[in-house]
Amino acid sequence: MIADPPIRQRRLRRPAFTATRVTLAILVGLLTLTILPFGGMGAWLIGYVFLVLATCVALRNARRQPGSWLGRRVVRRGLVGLIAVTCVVLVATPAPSNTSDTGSTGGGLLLLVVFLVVLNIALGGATQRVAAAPDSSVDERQEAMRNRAHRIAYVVFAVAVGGTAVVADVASQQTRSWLGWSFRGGGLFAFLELLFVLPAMVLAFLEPEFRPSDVREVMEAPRQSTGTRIALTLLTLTMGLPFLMSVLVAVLPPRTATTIQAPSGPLRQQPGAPSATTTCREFFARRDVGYGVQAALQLHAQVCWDGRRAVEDYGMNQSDCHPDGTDLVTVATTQCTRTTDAKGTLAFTYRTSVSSGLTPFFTRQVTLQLVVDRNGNVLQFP
Amino acid sequence: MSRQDGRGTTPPTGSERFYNRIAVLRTERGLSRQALADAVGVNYQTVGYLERGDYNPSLELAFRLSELFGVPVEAIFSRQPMRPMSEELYSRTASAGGG
Repeated sequence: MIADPPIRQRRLRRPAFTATRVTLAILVGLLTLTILPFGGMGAWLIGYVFLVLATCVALRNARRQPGSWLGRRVVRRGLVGLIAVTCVVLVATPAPSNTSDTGSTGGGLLLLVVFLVVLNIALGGATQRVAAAPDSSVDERQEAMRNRAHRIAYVVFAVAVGGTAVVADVASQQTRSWLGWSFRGGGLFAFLELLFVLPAMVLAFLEPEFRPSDVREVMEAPRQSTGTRIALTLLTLTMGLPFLMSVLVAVLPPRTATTIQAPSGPLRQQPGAPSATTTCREFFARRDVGYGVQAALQLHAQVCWDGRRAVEDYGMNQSDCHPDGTDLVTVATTQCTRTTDAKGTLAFTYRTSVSSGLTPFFTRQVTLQLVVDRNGNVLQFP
Repeated sequence: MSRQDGRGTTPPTGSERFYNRIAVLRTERGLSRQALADAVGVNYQTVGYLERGDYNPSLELAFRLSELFGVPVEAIFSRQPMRPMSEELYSRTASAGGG
């Protein structure tokens, strides 16, 4: 017979202060500081942030099956590895500056932080948020696990972060400089991530694999509710979308628009400028690469010819070789030249290397070229 | 009974190891692990750790289990490997009858 003991039932309550909430607060802060002042990052990015928030809500409300794939040791350790790699990339990401690539750096930073938030949500689900749970929400075994994870995390944090900061500060002027800009950029987010989430990472890494006997009873229940399926779909979408859009920068056909028109303004009077028999045209080309994660490159020049040679009236100086707009990509100008050959043919070349901040190994070479001969025949455009 | 040195869930070894009859008692009473976990206020996985001897419970949890099963603590936990309950019961009956 079973006795009727006065047992104190512990109900798992959701803790008020969790890594998830901290990272969400960071995200909101980042949105406020990054998107609003710079603007122009595209409506899709705002939509993506809402997708992240919807994913967070769906994951929190989904019925997680202990022992399901998210709690598997290999998945947990994979999440820890991804978070660690993301932190390293964040440390190497400088703060947005007031240069022409502001949108690129700020957007890349934002994507990384959003990615980190999603990983944190997944990590919280995988560890059942034991690392941030108060005593009243865990049993004694979980409490021991949590305390052990915090002790190890404290040592790891002190050695990794404190040690790195001390060494960088005393090593050289360069490392001291790196320390400065890193903490104004992604390094700050990596620091906060490790400060708040490292115990959960340690817990996820150390907790042993579930025994089949531990999960058998649970697995007999319906494996996935509709809410869980929705949450997993949103999670996949949220994590895959930035990578997909980054890859599109390299594979999506570029969209090009060109215009040739009569000069809209007076010709410049400069030495060697065309005579009265000169004909002039204004060339405008714009090439968009990628979608969402994208760059807009433009060529704008006025060319004149008189039957002997074609010359430029303006355009394609070094100062003209910069992107018209970038969203979450880095554009590096590799060539910006203006030449006239012996036959009097004028060639403008603007060549760039475009890569996403999230997948810098996918690079696309984009070339805009205008070639006009001495009779005004457009040989290439763009 | 749990180790309070904070090493948490590292499986007890050697002299730290306790043996128990939780699985037998639970099965006899027709309880699932989830039901037992709910009854003593722990996570269901902790029941698995307890049954395998991978985790030594606190004195409080040991007494909760004792009260739930209605048997003394020493009937659930032992520092020596447990003999089958039937064997133990018959040996007691035999010694009582013989005495």
